[in-house]
Amino acid sequence: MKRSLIIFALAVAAQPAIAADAKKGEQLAQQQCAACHGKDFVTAVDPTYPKLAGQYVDYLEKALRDYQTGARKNAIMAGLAKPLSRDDIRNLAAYLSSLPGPLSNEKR
Amino acid sequence: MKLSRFLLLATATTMSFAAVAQEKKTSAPASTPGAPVSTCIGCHSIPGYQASFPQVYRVPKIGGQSQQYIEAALKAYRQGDRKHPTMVGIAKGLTDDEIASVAAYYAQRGR
Repeated sequence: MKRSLIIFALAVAAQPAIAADAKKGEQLAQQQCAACHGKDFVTAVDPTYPKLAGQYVDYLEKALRDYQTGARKNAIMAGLAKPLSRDDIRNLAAYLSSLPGPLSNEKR
Repeated sequence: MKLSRFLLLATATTMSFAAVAQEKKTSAPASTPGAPVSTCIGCHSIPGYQASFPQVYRVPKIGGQSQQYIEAALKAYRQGDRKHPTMVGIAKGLTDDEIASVAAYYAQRGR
């Protein structure tokens, strides 16, 4: 009994965190984000809006969380980010970071 | 348990990025006359470089980003609408002209 409990505990601990779902992220992104950031997330409707395609997944998540908390102030993004769940944010970031685009941190 | 796993993963990821960064040979000079980018390259020209304070995440890719967006971002840091302490400090030392030239520099450096 004790051993099976230990094995169970180890099995639970070894579970990887549930992976983000880029497919769900795509649906949400095309509904909520594409109108301003562009369908390809490279050609935004306004040049002051950032390109998001290929951006780092963890930076995208952080940006959305900062809009939610107000750490980053932007009236439009605050309204859009507010209703997002933690999973919505992970899914959106997974999708956007997977897209091809010009963004780079290479030295050139 | 979760924390230690995360730390292990973070360390492994950082190390692999460091290895990749070392293999790349620098080709073109990193700065152009007029654009004060020597401050930027220490973080933004190292693929996978992570900000470590106050949160750990990779610093955004800004090469190839929209010029007007980079300008808006730097001005938002300068006036306190964005809070990252390092970026606030750097942006406060930049004039409008310097912001414009940094933005132009990075906008041209996409892949």
